[in-house]
Amino acid sequence: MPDWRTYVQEHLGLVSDLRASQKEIVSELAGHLEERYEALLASGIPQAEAERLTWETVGRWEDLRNEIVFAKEGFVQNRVKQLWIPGLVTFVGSAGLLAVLEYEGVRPLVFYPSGRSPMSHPYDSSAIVLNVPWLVSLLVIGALGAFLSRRARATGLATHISSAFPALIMAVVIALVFAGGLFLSWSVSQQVKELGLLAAGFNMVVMPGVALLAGDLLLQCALRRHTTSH
Amino acid sequence: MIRTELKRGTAELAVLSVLENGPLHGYEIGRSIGERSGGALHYTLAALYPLLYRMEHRGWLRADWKTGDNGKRRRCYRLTQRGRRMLKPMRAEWTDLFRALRRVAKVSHA
Repeated sequence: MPDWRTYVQEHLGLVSDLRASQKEIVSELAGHLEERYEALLASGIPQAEAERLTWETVGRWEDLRNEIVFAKEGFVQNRVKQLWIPGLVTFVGSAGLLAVLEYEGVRPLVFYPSGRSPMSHPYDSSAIVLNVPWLVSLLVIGALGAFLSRRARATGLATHISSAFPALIMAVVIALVFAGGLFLSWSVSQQVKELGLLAAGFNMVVMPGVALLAGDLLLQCALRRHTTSH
Repeated sequence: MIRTELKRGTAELAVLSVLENGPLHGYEIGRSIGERSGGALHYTLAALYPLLYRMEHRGWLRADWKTGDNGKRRRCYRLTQRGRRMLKPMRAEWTDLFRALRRVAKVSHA
């Protein structure tokens, strides 16, 4: 039995250090050739002839290599349109709206932990801050992100990530602050206390994330209804 | 034998149609198209796989690795909702094309 994996790998010009996606392509094409070869053998064709006929099913290796590279470049362009641009739009939109609301003097509702009183600082770091107008506007921003992503033919996860992009960015920032605290030898409990990490996570990740994803969900429902009615 | 240029245009519809009845891996897709077309349509790897990858990235197909009865792992493709929705307009388009060709070039289909 020929080693179809090595055969495909060599002919695609992928000699060493394959990325996961390249390994998948090699496995898939090798699997195809193996199936073809075995089917030919099973039909009574001698080994050498079966190998030659299997070889013929490839077509031109150069075409295959170029087409796959072309498709890959296309995927990168798709990723920009399906994920990064909609994600940037939601991020700029949500941050911009928050700035406008603050500029216009819209004050959020602030809930302090029991037994603590408001401090002179705008918000106690452990307080829960509920900016209702902003959260409501995030429904629209989330829907916009999902719309842009879907318009670029994205499906599933990419649309959800595009919608919730600002919340994901904040999650990364909070994780970095947490990791930075650990680097500075703070204890975890000290960090949670001093930075109000739990409250920050809730205020900047959970609540906006839920609002953005709700916008995404509303858009999906609206589109599904629109499609069904047609 | 149908020329490559003509076949290229038919490939998307052919792939969507054979996947309509359930998931198949790449080799099965090629074989199924060949069988259903009475051997008239058969695609080389160089034609089939880039097409499958493009259709997957357009969201028409979804692929998952599955282990078959023979213990071998194969990447199986199945239609997404979007892919299924593409079938009807695509079939209508081809029907219109054949109708037009019949009028212009006296082409008939079986």
